[in-house]
Amino acid sequence: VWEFSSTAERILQLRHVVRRETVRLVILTTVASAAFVGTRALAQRAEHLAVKDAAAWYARGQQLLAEADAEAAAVAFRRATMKHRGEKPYVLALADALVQGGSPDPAIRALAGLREQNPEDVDVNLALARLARSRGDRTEAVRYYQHAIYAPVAEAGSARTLRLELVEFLLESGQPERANSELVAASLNVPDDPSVRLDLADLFLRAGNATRAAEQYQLVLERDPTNLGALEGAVAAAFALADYRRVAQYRLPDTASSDAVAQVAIARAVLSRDPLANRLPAAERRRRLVLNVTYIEERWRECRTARGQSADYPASLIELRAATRRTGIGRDNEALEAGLVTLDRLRQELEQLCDTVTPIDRALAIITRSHDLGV
Amino acid sequence: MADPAQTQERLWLRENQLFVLLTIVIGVLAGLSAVLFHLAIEATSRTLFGFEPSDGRRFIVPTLMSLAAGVLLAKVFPEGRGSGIPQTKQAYHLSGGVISWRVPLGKFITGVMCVGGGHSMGREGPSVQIGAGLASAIGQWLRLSPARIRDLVPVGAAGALSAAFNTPVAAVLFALEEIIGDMNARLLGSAVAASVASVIVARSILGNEPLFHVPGYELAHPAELGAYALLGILGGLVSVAFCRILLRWRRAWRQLPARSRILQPAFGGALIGALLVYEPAVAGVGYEYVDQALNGEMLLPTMLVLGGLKILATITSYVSGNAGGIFAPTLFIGAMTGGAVGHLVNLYAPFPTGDVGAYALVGMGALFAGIIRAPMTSVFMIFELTQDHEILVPLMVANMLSLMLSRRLQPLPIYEALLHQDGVVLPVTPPRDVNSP
Repeated sequence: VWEFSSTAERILQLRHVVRRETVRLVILTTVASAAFVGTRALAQRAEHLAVKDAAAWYARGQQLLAEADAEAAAVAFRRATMKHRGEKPYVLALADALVQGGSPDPAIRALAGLREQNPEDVDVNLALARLARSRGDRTEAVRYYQHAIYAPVAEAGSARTLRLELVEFLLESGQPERANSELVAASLNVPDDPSVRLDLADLFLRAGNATRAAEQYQLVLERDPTNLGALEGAVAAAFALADYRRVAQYRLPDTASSDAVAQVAIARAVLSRDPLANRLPAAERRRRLVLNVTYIEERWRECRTARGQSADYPASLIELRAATRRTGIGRDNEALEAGLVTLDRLRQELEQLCDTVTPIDRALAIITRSHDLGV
Repeated sequence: MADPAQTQERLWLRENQLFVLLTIVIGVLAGLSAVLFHLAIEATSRTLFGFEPSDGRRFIVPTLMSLAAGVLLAKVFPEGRGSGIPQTKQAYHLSGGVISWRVPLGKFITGVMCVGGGHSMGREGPSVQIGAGLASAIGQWLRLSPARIRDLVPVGAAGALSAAFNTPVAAVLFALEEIIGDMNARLLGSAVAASVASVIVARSILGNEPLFHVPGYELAHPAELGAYALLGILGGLVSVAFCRILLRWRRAWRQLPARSRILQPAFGGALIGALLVYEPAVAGVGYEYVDQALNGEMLLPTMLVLGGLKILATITSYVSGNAGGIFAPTLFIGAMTGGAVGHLVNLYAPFPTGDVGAYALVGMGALFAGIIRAPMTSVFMIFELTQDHEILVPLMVANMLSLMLSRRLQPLPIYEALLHQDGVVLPVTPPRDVNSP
């Protein structure tokens, strides 16, 4: 309490107080500065230890995950993320462990927190996309895939890989049109690498874009005509395009897949058995019709006998056989078309009866369909 | 020659300017003390418990640390027990703000031992007492006038809380609302200066990481406000239950023979140790789990179990006379209560609902308002933690209901009730919120 007897004394005392306070404040400021430096050093050491602990928890989590203890691993990874906040590998590992432990919602939240810090991070967006994909959330999955693909730091190669993964997802979820658009984007500036082109071509084929698929297969075959994958793919693409002439030209090695071999056989049958094909002499048309009638008769006998049924031909087949004896039938388009329709109906009956479908069966179906005939 | 009146005026002005500078330096020191306290607790916990503690270690560490703390609290630092906020209020209102230098020192040491030793207690209450004690001790060292020394107590408290929570505005409001008990106090400027200085120091040392990482909040449907109102009511009931059990148990412990006081913390430590063997998550401050709840990464049964055990653990730690606060446990229990309500709302509400984390966040505020009875601090603290103004409306709804209910069922706020048990009655308990009659 300041009590003063006169103004002069008051001023004197105030001066003294102010001087004393100033000096002590300077001392205090010096102490505070030193304390700041010391505390900062301690905090840095504590941070260093926390980072070390986080790494140890991360390693522990990995070990637990390897032991298939996803729940305990999630706890360990969570500790790692708490000790070293925002460390991407830790959060990604935590999300992974949570998903494996059957808790996808917390995993999404953990990743969303990381994404908030860096919305364009490829790994985080990809993890979120895969998570959304596993939950069947198509919209979210596509959104995160797009973010990952268009991230500014994404390299061309990784962006393409991501895009192909997105295409896989789109195809799996029944969105071939969107998949096709992504594929077209992915095919721009593709390196001349056969494996990349093959992947691309396979996906184009799955997306229903056989033309683009055929182009990519062809580019691979130009570099390596013996590339089996490209050969099989080219056969499939040409077949999908109904370019049977091209399909028939391919010479497949013995190691080729049964599908490709069958497609070549079907294509060859289509080319050799169509009585309504352009620019054929009448005799050849008749010969082809007879060939097909004979094939159906054989199949009829074979399948009926195998089932212990009477091998007698149906009336329609007997009538058709009789009609083929007429030499003028090769010039009678209507009769040829009627014959094809009859054969197609019988072929369908045989499909029900027989256990197998031969390439010729499929060729006959294609021939009938290609002339807008059939049932 | 200068006019004496002018000289005198100039010197007064200079003295005032020095006081403002002093509040800034005190803010810095209080912030540093809070940061050091935090670091010391972390280091102690790490050293004592190690990487993956065994059950035996979980039991023995709190027991032995409390035994040592009990001796210190009984023989050397008797003012160090409990939270520190009631003692700070007592010092401000009854002792002219005079706090011995032994108080912050003792609180620092025993607080580190108890919270770092696994007790279910918070570091904010002790930080406030340490900050306030430092400020008072500095005022005494500077031989300031008694009024100035008293004024420095809330300034130091605001500085410490600002650094402890990284919430400068809430810290100022807390100093006014809880320590002074007057939102219109003339110390606003000093408290702001100290709070800002403190938070700058804390951020420059620990970084500007928020205490909790909270996802963006969204009110999914207007009817959700009804759910938040229910949360407010539940928060009020939980607050009252917490306060009543704590006060009743504390009274029972205080009735034990006086010579047992030295061993009471150790007994509490043993109980906590046994609890930690069963559920390690209730140890210490527990913000790791609050963060999980806020991010909706915790399941309903876990929240219910952790919330219940935390109440039990905090009350045990507190009533046995260990050193540590109830701020952090309040937030923990609130987050679990809110999260549990959020889960139920998500499951059964017939309207679109927000994240579980949003309910956990509002639950934190509701419990804070109900137990600590500082509604404005609560609202601003949550706002500062989330930086999301969308949360304010549901938060205010829940806070007000929780506060009104707890005031009705438990008229005396927890800190004042604790002082009453110690035979201390504060002279004035001014109205502190708009709902006061």
